[in-house]
Amino acid sequence: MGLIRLGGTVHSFGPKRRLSMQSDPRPEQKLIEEMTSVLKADEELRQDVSHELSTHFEDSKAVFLEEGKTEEESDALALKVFGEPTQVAEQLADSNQGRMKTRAALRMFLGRILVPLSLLVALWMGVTYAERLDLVRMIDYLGAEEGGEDEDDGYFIKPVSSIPWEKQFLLYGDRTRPTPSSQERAIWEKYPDNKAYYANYLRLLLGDYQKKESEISFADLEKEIRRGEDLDSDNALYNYVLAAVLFKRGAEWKRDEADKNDKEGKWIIKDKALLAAAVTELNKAADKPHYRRYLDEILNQRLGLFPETRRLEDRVAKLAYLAGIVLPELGPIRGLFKAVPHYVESNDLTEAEARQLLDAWQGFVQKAVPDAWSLIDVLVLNAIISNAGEKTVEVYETKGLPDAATQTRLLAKKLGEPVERWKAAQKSQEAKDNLDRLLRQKGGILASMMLPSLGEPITEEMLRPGRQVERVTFEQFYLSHVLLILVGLMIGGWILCKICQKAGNGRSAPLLLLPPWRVALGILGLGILMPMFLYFAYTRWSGLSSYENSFRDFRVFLELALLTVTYLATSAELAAAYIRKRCQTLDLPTPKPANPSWRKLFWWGLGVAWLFCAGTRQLFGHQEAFETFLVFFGIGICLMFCGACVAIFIKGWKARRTHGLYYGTLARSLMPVYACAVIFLGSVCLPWLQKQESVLLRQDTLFASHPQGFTVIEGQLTQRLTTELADALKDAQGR
Amino acid sequence: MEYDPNLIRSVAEPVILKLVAERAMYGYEIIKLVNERTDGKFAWKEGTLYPCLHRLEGAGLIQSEWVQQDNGRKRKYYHITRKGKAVMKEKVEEWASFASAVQSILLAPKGA
Repeated sequence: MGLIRLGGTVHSFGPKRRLSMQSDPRPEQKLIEEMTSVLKADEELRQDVSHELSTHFEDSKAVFLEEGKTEEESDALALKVFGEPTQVAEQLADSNQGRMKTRAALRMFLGRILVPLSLLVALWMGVTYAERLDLVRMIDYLGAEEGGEDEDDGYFIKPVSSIPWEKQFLLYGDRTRPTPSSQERAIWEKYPDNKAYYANYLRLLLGDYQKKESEISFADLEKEIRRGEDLDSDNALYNYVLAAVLFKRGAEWKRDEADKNDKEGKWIIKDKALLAAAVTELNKAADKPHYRRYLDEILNQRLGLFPETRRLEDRVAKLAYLAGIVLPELGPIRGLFKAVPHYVESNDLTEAEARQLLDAWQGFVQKAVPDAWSLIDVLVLNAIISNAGEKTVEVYETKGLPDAATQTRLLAKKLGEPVERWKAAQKSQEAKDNLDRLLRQKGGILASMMLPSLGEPITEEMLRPGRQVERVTFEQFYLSHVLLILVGLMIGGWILCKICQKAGNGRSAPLLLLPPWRVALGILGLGILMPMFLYFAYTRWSGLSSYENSFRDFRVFLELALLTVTYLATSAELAAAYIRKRCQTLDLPTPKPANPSWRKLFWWGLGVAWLFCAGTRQLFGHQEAFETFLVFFGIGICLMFCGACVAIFIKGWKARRTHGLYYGTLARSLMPVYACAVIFLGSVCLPWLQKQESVLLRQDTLFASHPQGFTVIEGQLTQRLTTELADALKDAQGR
Repeated sequence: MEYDPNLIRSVAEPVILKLVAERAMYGYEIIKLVNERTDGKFAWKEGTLYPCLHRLEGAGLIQSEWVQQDNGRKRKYYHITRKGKAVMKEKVEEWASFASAVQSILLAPKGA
């Protein structure tokens, strides 16, 4: 069983059908059949001509009857004045030849080209958008508390799969290797003189070393740290990292389980020799001029390797790449400076030795501020400063050095001010509420995930492109589902057509009706182009739709559901109305039309739902019960449409013996209409939305990646805090 | 007097165009009108009208439309298109000129 031959020739059924119903066909019917047999290649045309000739006979016969002739005489006279059947048939064939050729070509185009092409378009779009569903997983990953835990993160690689292998290698290293550090090491192995690649590798090695199931020994780590020290002798990174690891190995924090107030625990020395070695490394680090992880250089280079951001997943892949950057050195270094005052407290050191160790944090902060990357980095620096303001001051006082204690307290206070100011602003309830309200109403998904923790002032205009790019992407997913619905309707129509054809026992084949071009344009224009145009006009230009709001606006889903129903129902209604009228003209038995009240109820309901959608804009976020009612109302309309589709299918199946020809013709003739809709959606609407997505992504600077943070706004905040910290350090040195 | 069928065939299309230019008409109505106006001199075989109508429709000179009558019956009405009007005007002028030329020879007084 092959595809229905939409463009193929269907065999005669018209006059034959009428003949088959009567055991003794009337003479004019025989004559008409004889004359129109030359048109059998175009059944619709043949039916049309037969019907026209039949009305002529009836008119002619009626005149003879009026003149007082008998039924038989009238028949005979009407036949006589009509002329020689063979001659008429020849002339009919000749005069309709051109038209038949054109119509045959059109049927061929519709059946053999348009419908298969639409199926291919739908299939291609379906596959494309199924792949784009990775976007959902990507956003989930970004929103997860602990990014990077998901091992199967291959979907992040997809957006960069089109760039040359060399560039992919620089972005992700050798992905055939088992651990992040070994993958990163591959890059350094290729560029062995590059200090940045080595520093990056070492940071990841430290991360792998700290994992519970790590197979990296301390000796391996130390060997690699020493190699880095040799490669980049001015960089204090390696000594600080080694000091931190040694301090962690040489001592531990033990909490008193009985004491609920003991949150930190007690610092217990395990190995004095390791701690002594750590102090040596710390002092070596203090003598070096720089602390460099080269994160900004590496990120600037790597963000430049990403392809142009044309899709939302390109953006999310970039953000995820930044979010996936681990900072494994932060924990040990924070631990190092937390432990140092305890080490001084626990050991009998000279004043000079004690001062050198207790002031080591200052040297670190000075070197680390220019290197700070992302907010978390600045917050760790602030934690080190804050610890100095408390524990270091306490140890200075214990050691009988009150001046040093005061100086340290003042310095720590001064250096802590930028972050304290930021925290105070962030804690302001009013600012929090305003940001929360703005994000709820106007923020996109990414904005809601990434902005609240920053507490930075945001305006509605800043949120607009990011929110709209998500909406446009969502619309693309939604329209690709509409394509699937259309394909489903085409398949349903094909099945119904086959059922009806089978029920006709070969006597009748459903027709593929070819409407006049004005009717065809009306169906395509009003049924396919107009609903989509009105939707885009309503959402983009009216200012009344949920396009102006976040996804929390309940109307987002309602509008798209109503669009689907309006789109499918309008095109089907217009086409079905023509098909019914045409079938009636061709004298095909048509069933009673559906109850007009149901039809009216549906169209009125649809209209009311759209009006409510536009009119309830002001209720956003206030009338939850009403919103729920409206959503259910919209769903009711959608269910009515689905119910109508199923009902038509069932009615057609049940009436396949009596009205099979009508239902088969309806199903067969609707297929090209749906095919046009698929091609319109796939080749006009979706590419237009893709273009909009790309334009909005260019406009959205809020989430453009920034080498000093995950996003521009975080990068700017980091820059502001580090500048204030650097100024505070300068002030302190000046004094 | 019976006309030469070739002569009748040559005027069929301009005659149909002229009639449907007056108002939309269905096939039987055209035949009746032709017979009325020519006193049945054309004696068209009714069946030959339809190929002619279809040819004109195929050429885009006339357009057809099924119209439902008050009694529920449907008839196919033909009406002239813009292109058909232009062709009709041309044909009428052509025919007038031709008839005049023929007349000037066949019906001219002897020796004139």
